[in-house]
Amino acid sequence: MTTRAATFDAPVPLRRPASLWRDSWHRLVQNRAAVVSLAYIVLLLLIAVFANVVAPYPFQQQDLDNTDLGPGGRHLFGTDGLGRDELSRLVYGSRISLAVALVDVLIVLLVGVPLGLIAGFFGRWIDVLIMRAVDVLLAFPNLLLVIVVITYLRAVLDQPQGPILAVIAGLDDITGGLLGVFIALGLVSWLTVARLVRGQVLSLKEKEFIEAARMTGATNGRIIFRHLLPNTLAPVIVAATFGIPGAIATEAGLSFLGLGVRPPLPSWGILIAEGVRNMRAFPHELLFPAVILAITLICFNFLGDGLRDALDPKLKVD
Amino acid sequence: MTTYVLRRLLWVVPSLFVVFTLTFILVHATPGSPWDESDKPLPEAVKQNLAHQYHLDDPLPKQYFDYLANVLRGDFGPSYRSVERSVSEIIGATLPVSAQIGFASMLFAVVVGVPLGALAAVRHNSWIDYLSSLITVTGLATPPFVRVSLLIVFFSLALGWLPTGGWEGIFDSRAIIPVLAIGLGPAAILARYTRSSLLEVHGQDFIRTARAKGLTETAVVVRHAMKNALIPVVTVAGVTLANVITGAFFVERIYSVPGIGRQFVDSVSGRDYPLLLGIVLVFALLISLVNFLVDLSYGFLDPRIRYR
Amino acid sequence: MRKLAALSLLVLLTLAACTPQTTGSASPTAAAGKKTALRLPEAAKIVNTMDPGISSGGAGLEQIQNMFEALAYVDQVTGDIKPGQAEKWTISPDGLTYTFNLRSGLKWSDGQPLKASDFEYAWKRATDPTTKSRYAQTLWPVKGAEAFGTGKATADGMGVKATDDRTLTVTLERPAPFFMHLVATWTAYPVRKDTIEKNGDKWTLTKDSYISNGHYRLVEWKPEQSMTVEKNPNYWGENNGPDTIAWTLYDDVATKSVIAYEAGEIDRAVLVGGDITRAKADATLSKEIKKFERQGSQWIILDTTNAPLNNVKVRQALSMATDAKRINEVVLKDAYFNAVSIVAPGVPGQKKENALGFDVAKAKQLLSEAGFADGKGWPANVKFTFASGSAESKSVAEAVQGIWKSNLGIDIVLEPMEDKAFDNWRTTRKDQPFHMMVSGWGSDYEDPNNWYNLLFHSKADFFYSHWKNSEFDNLIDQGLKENDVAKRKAMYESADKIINTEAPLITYYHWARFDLIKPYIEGLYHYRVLGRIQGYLVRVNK
Repeated sequence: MTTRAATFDAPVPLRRPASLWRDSWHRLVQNRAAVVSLAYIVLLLLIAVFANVVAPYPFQQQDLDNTDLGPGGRHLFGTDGLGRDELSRLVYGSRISLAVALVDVLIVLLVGVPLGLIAGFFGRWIDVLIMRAVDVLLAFPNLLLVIVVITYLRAVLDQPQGPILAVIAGLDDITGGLLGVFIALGLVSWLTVARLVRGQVLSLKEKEFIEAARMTGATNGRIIFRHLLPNTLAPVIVAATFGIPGAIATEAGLSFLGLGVRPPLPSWGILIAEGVRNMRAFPHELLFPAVILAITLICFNFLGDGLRDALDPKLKVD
Repeated sequence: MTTYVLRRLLWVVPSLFVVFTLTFILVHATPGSPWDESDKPLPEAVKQNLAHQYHLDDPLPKQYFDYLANVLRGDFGPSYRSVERSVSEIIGATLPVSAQIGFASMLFAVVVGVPLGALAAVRHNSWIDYLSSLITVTGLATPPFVRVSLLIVFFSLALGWLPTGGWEGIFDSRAIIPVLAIGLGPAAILARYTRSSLLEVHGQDFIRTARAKGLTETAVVVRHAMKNALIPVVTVAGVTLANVITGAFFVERIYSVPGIGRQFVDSVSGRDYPLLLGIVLVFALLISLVNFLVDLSYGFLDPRIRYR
Repeated sequence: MRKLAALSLLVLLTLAACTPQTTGSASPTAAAGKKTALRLPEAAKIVNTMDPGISSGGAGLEQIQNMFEALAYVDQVTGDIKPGQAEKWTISPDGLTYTFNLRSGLKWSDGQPLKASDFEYAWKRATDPTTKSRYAQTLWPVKGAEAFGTGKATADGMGVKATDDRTLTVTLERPAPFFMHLVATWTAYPVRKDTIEKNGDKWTLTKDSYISNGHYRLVEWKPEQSMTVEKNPNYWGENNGPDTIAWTLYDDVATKSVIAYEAGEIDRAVLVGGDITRAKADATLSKEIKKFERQGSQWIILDTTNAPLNNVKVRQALSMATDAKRINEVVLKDAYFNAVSIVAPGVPGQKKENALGFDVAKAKQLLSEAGFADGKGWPANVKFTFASGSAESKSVAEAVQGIWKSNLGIDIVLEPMEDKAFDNWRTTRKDQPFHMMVSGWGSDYEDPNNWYNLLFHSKADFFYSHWKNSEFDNLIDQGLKENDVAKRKAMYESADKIINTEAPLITYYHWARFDLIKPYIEGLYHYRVLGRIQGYLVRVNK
């Protein structure tokens, strides 16, 4: 599909590109799937930001005379059990879901990757410490922690005293109650990536180019950033894109327990969960959010693939 | 090497300890007691009696050490929510079920996902690649509770091929939907990671060497590329296996499988402390072991990795 | 000639009388060799246990009630107390002593004779604090029971004694007109001492150890999966019900039972939400729908001492602006019965004329009189709290939020809470303020005492609405003691008027059971008070 498909058969010359970023961008732009995906994601972001302009109805507006309508007429995607417009709820829901996706990706990149790098590179007790922390957190009942934190926080945040609590209260409000979800994600999202990156580093560490770099006097930092990091990108990108459906599912589950988004705020996760319950009676209530979620994830995936291809220092350049 | 193995196994103990202590602190900080019944509230005296009978009114440090002492003797205590079965019995009955489904699902995931990912990598950027992307992402984009519900509606109601729920062992037709519903996610994940790490590897030196030696494409892929590419795959498989066993909650719930995931979530929402602590300890042990095996496998997959 | 005709007629009539009926219960000869089975759904979390003395009810109760029988039972059709294991009982004139005479020849499911001492053992055991019963307080009206249950006295001081093998004498602390209802409760079922002592906590797990005395006995229990029972051959009475009853346990009974029902795996399903709409539209299913009344109400509880709800006009406005009919019929798909008044219909004292009703214009006016015309000045943080585990509560909360916004112009904040956190929060509302929460109540027995006195007396304040009205209290205090039926009803009706006018709660539906029942099943009926299926009344015509 692309012009310079790098297949297994074609020989791959090793030539370092002139400028990593410019060549990467060049390659990305030539990947049609990635470009379309990027355009979709940008469009989605715009829709999320300008939801109140895009959405035909306010998301909480009920119409008890027109509940559970199928798609068509005044409601492009139909209505839900309270007569609320599904399209509008999808549009507003994108805010929550994109926020959740963003936080998840940030945690993966800013917490998981560094920890994995450090653990793999330095080894010994640092590795032990970080990896045992991973083991502990994997077994830990994170749900319980979220319940405790959120319940107390909500009780305390009722009348926030002092600047710290006021900020936390504000955060909780702005995000529509997502604080609990962010905490849960913070505990869990980085675990897989950390292990992945560490695994990669363990194997890369012994390679010749690292030794070469060391012999030319490169510092640890330089080795980590210039040499190790770019080579761990592939699994990181997959982990980042794959973390998103998990994050959205976590948000749906927590919102369902009353620990996430405050009703009547919609999120794609909640729409899907409610849709499953009415799946047989009113399938459109599940269909639209599920399809939109799938399309979004496919686009993130293709974009991620495109990025991986673009940033791969070993691919040849035209 | 043996020192490494021993050291790793020893490290399991403090991990368990930390998990246990953190969870213990957490359960006692959580609001809501095991006996609050929302429709018919119990008189205070009855609640106090129950707390007393289960030693919940002992000072916390005493409860902590009593529990530890019991665990060392193999006694995980009674479950608050079930009078008939102790924690050990509940775990003993449900863990094997989840383990069987978990392994079957991972087997399915490996058998389906890894070749799919390899195929996509070899035919990089072809229509096969894109199609497999589509399949895997869609498989992953549907949360587990959607997947299992769709499978039930399709296979049980529409086609009438499979029962709508229950458990009669891993070789019974009732295991098909749970294994599919749980395994599709990891299959998709493994496919993606296989593909991406194979693509990583294909440009490296030893591949050129293998090709130069005149090996067939398949041999190149299977014997040389795969082994190196497998490191991320194995890492993810390890994490996913642990998650699968512990997190198949939705599928267990909707398909009525008597697994341990349900017990875990129910013990949190029911504040069944002994059961929760017992399950957490079991999970911590399991996860530590799985991750340990994964780390060991690195040594086989990439001989250059050495453990000091 | 006439003789021949008469003889023929006689023969014909005799033949007709001997032919088995095709409807109703099949005669034993026709059914011989063919075993009938009833397959039902049940919630998987069999709460606590199958031990009648420990169980707190909920899921598991239906099974226990089919396998055991108390001294008396509540007739599922009329609601009367009928003799069970006891053939008669006498109550002393002062109402403090009950003497129960057991039937002769009573046996346990394993053939052993059942004696009055089995009842004495069971009652004392349930009350014993070391038994850890989750429903211990049931028998506290018995003399010395509460003291024993709270560890202040011994079992010997408890006023229940088997004076001989067939006589049980019970002494109460004070007269309790509803005591027979407690006698019919599961906590008062007899249990076998030897199997409990031999097997400890595990006595409920197998058919050999779970010895019972009711219409059915245990065949197999697979925890969280299924439970099967069969006819108890040693039951004293008749049982023309199905030979076996099998319950399949589901975590999400509402959705799963419908799927299993449609797949032909069970004979009854619970209908909720979208499935109701679908069933009504389906040619086959629409004929299998059955809706049963249950005596209960579901309310929004208001804190009457917390502004702005401390103003009765505000509460009345909210009540009259709540379109309960639409909430039930549209939002909840008519799963229940439309709200009539605070106390459920059928309870003596309840009068539908006392209800405020739905009147938006009046509501707006009242709100305006209270100082919040068109919602202006309405405080910002009025919270509607509910347990998020209930999807229904969430739908209702959102609907009410929208309805009040459009009818009155006011904004409320929805506060969902995790289930146990909600339970805990609710318990602390006893002397803490809140604004609104969701709760409900179903009759334990059909008597105004089980509603007005138990729930709404200012000293009881069961739902913590912090509502005090001395006139109301006086009326129901008198009503409690009044023996004349007509006078009693009048007192409670006056009380009913007061509580509806004061509106400390807003009703949004009355309870119901909405089932799908296969056409070959007869007699499956949920009585409106504590309705649970009594297997022996059901006929499986397959």
